[in-house]
Order: sequence, then structure tokens, then C-alpha cells
Amino acid sequence: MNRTVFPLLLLLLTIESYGQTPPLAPVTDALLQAPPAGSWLHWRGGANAWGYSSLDQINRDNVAQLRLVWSWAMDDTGAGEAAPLVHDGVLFLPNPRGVIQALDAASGDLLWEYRPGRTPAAAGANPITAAELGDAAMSPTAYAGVGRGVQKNIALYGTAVYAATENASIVALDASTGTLLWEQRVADPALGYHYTAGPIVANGVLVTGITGCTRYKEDVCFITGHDPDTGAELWRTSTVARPGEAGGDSWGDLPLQFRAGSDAWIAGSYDPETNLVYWGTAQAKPWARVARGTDGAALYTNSTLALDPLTGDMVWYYQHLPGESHDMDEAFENLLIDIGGRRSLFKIGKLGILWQLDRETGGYIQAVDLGYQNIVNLDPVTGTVRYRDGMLPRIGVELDMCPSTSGFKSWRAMAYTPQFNLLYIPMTLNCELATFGPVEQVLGGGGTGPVRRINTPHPDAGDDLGEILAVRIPGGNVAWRYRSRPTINTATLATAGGLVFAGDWDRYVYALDAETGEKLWQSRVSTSAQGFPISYSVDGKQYIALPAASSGASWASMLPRDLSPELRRPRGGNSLHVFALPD
Amino acid sequence: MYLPCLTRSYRQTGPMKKYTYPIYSVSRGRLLGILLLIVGSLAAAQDGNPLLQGLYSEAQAARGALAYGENCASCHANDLRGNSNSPALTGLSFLFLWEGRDLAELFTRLSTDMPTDRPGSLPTDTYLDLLAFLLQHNGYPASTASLDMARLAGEPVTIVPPPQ
Ligand code: HEC
Repeated sequence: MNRTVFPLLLLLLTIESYGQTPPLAPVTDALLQAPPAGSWLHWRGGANAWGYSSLDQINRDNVAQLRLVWSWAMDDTGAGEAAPLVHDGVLFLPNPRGVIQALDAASGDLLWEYRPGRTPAAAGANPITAAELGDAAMSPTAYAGVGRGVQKNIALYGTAVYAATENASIVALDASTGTLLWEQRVADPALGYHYTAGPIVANGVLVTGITGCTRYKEDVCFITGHDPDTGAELWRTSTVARPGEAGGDSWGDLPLQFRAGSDAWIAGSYDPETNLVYWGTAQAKPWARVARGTDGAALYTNSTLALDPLTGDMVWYYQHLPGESHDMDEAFENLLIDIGGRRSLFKIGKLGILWQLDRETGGYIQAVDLGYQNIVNLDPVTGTVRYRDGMLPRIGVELDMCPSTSGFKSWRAMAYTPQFNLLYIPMTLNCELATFGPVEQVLGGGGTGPVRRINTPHPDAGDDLGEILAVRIPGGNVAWRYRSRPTINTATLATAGGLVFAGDWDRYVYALDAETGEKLWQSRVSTSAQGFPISYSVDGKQYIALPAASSGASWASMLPRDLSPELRRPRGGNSLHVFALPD
Repeated sequence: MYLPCLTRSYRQTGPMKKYTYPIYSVSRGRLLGILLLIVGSLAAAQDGNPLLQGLYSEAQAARGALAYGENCASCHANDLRGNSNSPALTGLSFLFLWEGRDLAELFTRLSTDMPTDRPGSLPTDTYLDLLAFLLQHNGYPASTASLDMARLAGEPVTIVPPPQ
């Protein structure tokens, strides 16, 4: 970080800060690798992405006494899928459309707020102005929709907070004041590029994955490495195999412009022991092979990529669904769990197939079909998936498929507890009558391809749309299922208190017994629970923070609209709700 | 495991045209061919279709363009060609989704479900403006009279391809 700006920062501190806080302790690599129990330094808690807190003050015996200690209304100008961080008693809260706040994690007092284009920039910082955005700039009153405005995770490193914006840039803020330190444009938002997931820190490098690669253009999706001090781009790795490169023929003879998709829209994980970054990629676009113009594997879509954080080199990849054809992402969180001494990586995609890979080599270890999908057959010995007869989309022919294009699993990350060797997977049980259509194969065209869709409930689920599935690993046996009429609308959080926290579309937030699934506590918040629940402690007191939001990835809004129309929620209400035991 | 036992009635979708041509993605030339084919086959139906005579006013569409920028473009993009999971509302995509269906159904879809993050939140007149803008963008002619609720409630209007 540029030390010469420090006096200026001090000046800005007095002007910009709402509260007076001592400067925060720097977040070092050592802290990131072994986060203190009371902190939440990574978007999923630890570098292993378990979504697990080792705090146990709140436990099965006393959780029924949980009560609200503070709540905070968040920006309502877009979709909220917040993954807050906590360091040194400060909670860092990503709001929609680039707004970030720092709050006293115990009292809920605002310490500072960063608002793009409003908060002063440090000398030498290079904020991107609205004028520079050209056609891609939205009027200030425009309502940001899915993709535009979503800000899931942010990162902490050194004395800065890092975020990736809806306008395809990466920003660094001073963690003590919120002052903009630098802003780096990574791609042209006018082409559709944007971020919905923020960076992670890997071996001193900011690693970030872009999205918005739906339409045909002269470039493809990618993951970049940036210097945290200056924002300088260190490397850029395409998530699509280019013509003439290794794997390039997996798109048939399609030129680069017509190789769309493979968006890297969920933050990855970094393992210091293997020195590899693990990142998931989305499906190819258009979704259906028949519209895409190739039935090739389309590398590196729907894959787990292992990248060297210093060079961006792809050390290995594992493609879960070659030539995917129904919008079934495998882009989600990567949980790093050692099983019997074997360094493994667990992940699950929209189809509800749970994968275990060797995270050193990328080798296949095991996959378990959780039993709800009707699209592919999985060979559990080899991990090979084959489309069932008649299940590949044809233009204009209706398919009765489970899940819908929404998927069973989406960005709502699963948690893992070492206490019981259980994964807690938030699932949406649903199917769809889907009729896929053609696209125009011209620059600017393409896209996902039109789908005439009719959402339908899942035949195995009765009236229930939501499920938290507790799966024992490595075997994949189901320990329990928590079912609910509303969709489960948050990531899960597991704690050493023997608890799993989550929330649903119908505004309920709750704690389940991690061993049995029994509901032990429940409360109701302003709007749908939505985002990534976390736990932290300040001065020896444990807190549970649960985000809520009224919009979101559109599927989150559409399925309840169609399948649980009797449930209603307010239009606004993005917010954070923090609970603790009485003193 | 999976039983297709769909017993409830789901969202009304209306009659849909079946596309049976065995194409992969559609190149420009092919697209033109397909459109010509469709136009040809529907020529009879098109005669006198109010959509082709003009159903909205220019002023309405101009207001609709502004409302679109404010409320829809963040998902469906400035050029209506969509992004992420928001479908294109123009060209081949629009026809694939809407050809053969009732214009009033399209209006209902807009005005009850959009924008997906705060459905039905705009005034009825704004939804009418938005429909006018969608029609204009898709190449349907304007007229001097504005589109209103009474017209939508009247004689059904089947969506046919725009004039070439
Ligand atoms: C937050 C994102 C978002 C916003 C904002 C939004 N839409 Fe949509 N729209 C979608 C998605 C996603 C779909 C398709 C899924 C669905 O609802 O079935 C869709 C579907 C549609 C459809 C129907 C296409 C079909 O499947 O037949 C129309 C028409 C439409 N939108 C128009 C609009 C208009 C007009 C606005 C502005 C008032 C708007 N949308 C705002 C996301 C959005």
C-alpha cells in the first residue's frame, strides 16, 4: 500500500469516519491461514470454505434463548446476497451496487461507509467515473437487477478491504476509514462483463473471477490475479479453451466469439498447503448444445480449475459435466476437507451430485447422486455422466426435467462440521417443463438461449420446496433432511455448538440440531433470509449474523412466485440481523 | 425415483407454436430463411392482424424506452438482448417465446411478474408504455392511437412475426 498517502488518510479519517476507531490490526497471511475463533476472515469463514465456526458459547442447550441485539437496514437498490466479514470487532458488510459498510460488530454502530462515486479517494487513487462507463452506466435511479448490483463476498488483506464491482472493476478500500485506495478496470462492462463475486487472497495475490460472458463477443470469461498494493493485473487465465490451444477442439470448430459462458461467478478457495486456488466455472452458453452449435465437451466449462496463484497457470482441471446442455452449473463453493489423510475437495452443482476430488491431482475420488435429478446417469466408479435417453434438449421440444434451470443447489453455500462429518446442503426441490429455443449466431447475439419454462414442484417433495440435506462424508449417506414449504434461501452455517443456522424465503431464520435436524430456535426477519450467515465473537460474546434480502438471483424470486404463491413478502427490506444470548 | 405425476395446474402458458426444424444454432442466412418460412406460412393469418396495422403510439413507445432504461435494462440489457438468466426480449428469442400467443398474455406477464425483483410495482400506464416499446423495438408499426387496457381486454391479438 502506498505509505505516502497515510497523512492524507488521517485527515480523511477525521472527515469521513462516523465513529473513532483505532486502526485495525493488519490481516496477515498467517491470520488468513489460521483465523482466530472469533473472526470471520474469509467469505466462508476459513480458507477451507467450511462455513464453520469453532465458537460454542451458543449451543444446543441454550440456543432457544437467542435474541436480537442489533439489526441494520441495507441498501435496497439491488439484490442482496451478502457475505459479511469480521475482524478485530469490526463487521464489514457488502451491500448491493458496490456499497460497503464497516460496523462495530458488537453494537451495530456505523464506523464508515463506502459509496462508489461519493466517498473520497486517496491521493493517487483512480476511481472510475460514471462518464467512463458510457452506455453501460445505469442511471442512478435504475434498479439493479440480477448480476448488476449483486455483491456477494469481499476480502480482507493487510489494512485493506477488496471488492469487485458491477462495472467490472476491482476496488481497494482502507479498512480503517473506507477511503478508496485504488480502482482497477478489469473488463468492459458495455460488453456485459460484471462481477457478482469478490476476490479471495491467495499467497499474497488477489484472485477474482468475472461473469457476464453470456453473449457473443470477441473475448471470453476469465480469472485474474491482481497485486493487492497497486491493483496491477499480474495474470489472466481464460476459463474457455481457445481455438488452437490445448482442449481448443472441445468446442468443435466454433471460433472464439462463439465460445461463451464458463462464467466464474462464485469465489473459489485457496489451500496454502498445495499452493493452489480452486475455482468453479459455469456452463457453456447458450445453454443447450443444439443452440450452441457443438456437442463437444466445451472446456473449461462446468469444471473445477486448480490455478497457481502466482502465475495463473492451470495445474489441473476436472470437468464435471462435459458438454452440459440444461443450465446445470457446477460453479459453486469448493470445500477443502481431508479424508483419511487424503487432501480432498468437495463440491455440488445444480444437479445435486456431490463430488469428491483429490485436490492435489484433480483425480476423481467419488461422486454421489443425491437422487433428485432425472437428466443424467452417473457412473460412480469413474465419475462419468451420460445423458439419459431423450433428455438432451431439441429446439422446440418440451422436456420434463428435474431440476429446473434454477437447479437444486445454487450460490447458497453448504457448510461442513468436523464434529459429525456432515455437510449441510441447502436445496430447492423443483422441476420444469422446459422448451429450449435457438439463438442468433452473431456478435452481440447468443445469450443463454430462450426457454419457455413452466416451473413445477418436485414429485418426491410433496408441497415442500426447501430442504437442508445433511450428508455424511465421505460415504454420502443422508443423516437427516429438514424440509420446508418455503425455499431455503441462505447458505448454511455450522457451529461447534452443535448447530446449523439457515433461513428461508418466508422470512424465518433458525437453528437446527446439527446431529438430528431438529429445530431448536427460530425468529422472523424483515424479508426473505438471503445471503451468507456468519458467527463471530467480540469480548468473549458470541454473535450470529443473518442477512436478509428481498430480491436476488431471479430464480430465487421466480420459483416462490410460481410454486408457493400463497407466501408473501415485502418488496424491500435488505438487512442484517445479529443475535446473541442474553447477558 | 422420478415420477412425472404432475397433478396440479400450473401457470397458464397458452398455445405454443412447435418449432420442428432440426437446426443447430442459427446463422444469419438461416435465420432469414426460417423467418421467411414462418412469414410465408402465416401470411394468411397475418392479414389484418392489428399488430401489423399499428397498436401503439410513438409517444407511448418513447415513454416506454425511458421506463425500460430505468426498470428493465439492468437485467435485459440496453439492447433487449438479455444477459445472465434474463432472456432476450427481441428478435428470434422474442418470437420463440411469444409467437402464436395472445398479446394480452404478454402484457399480463410484464405487469404482474416484472421486474422480477419487485413485481407489479409500476403504474399500469407505464406497463402499457413498456409493451409499446417492446413492440416498436421488435419492428411492429406504430399508429396514431395509444394502446390501452380496453384494447387489450377486447378482441384477442395473436402475436405474429413483424413485417419484414
Ligand atoms: C431482476 C432482473 C429483471 C428485471 C429488472 C426485469 N426482468 Fe424481465 N425477466 C427476468 C427473468 C429472469 C425472466 C425470465 C424468467 C421468468 O420470469 O420466467 C424475465 C422474463 C421477462 C419476460 C418474459 C419472457 C418469457 O420468458 O416469456 C418479459 C416480457 C420481461 N421479462 C420483460 C421485462 C420488463 C418489461 C421489465 C421492466 C419492467 C423487466 N422484464 C425487468 C429478469 C428481469
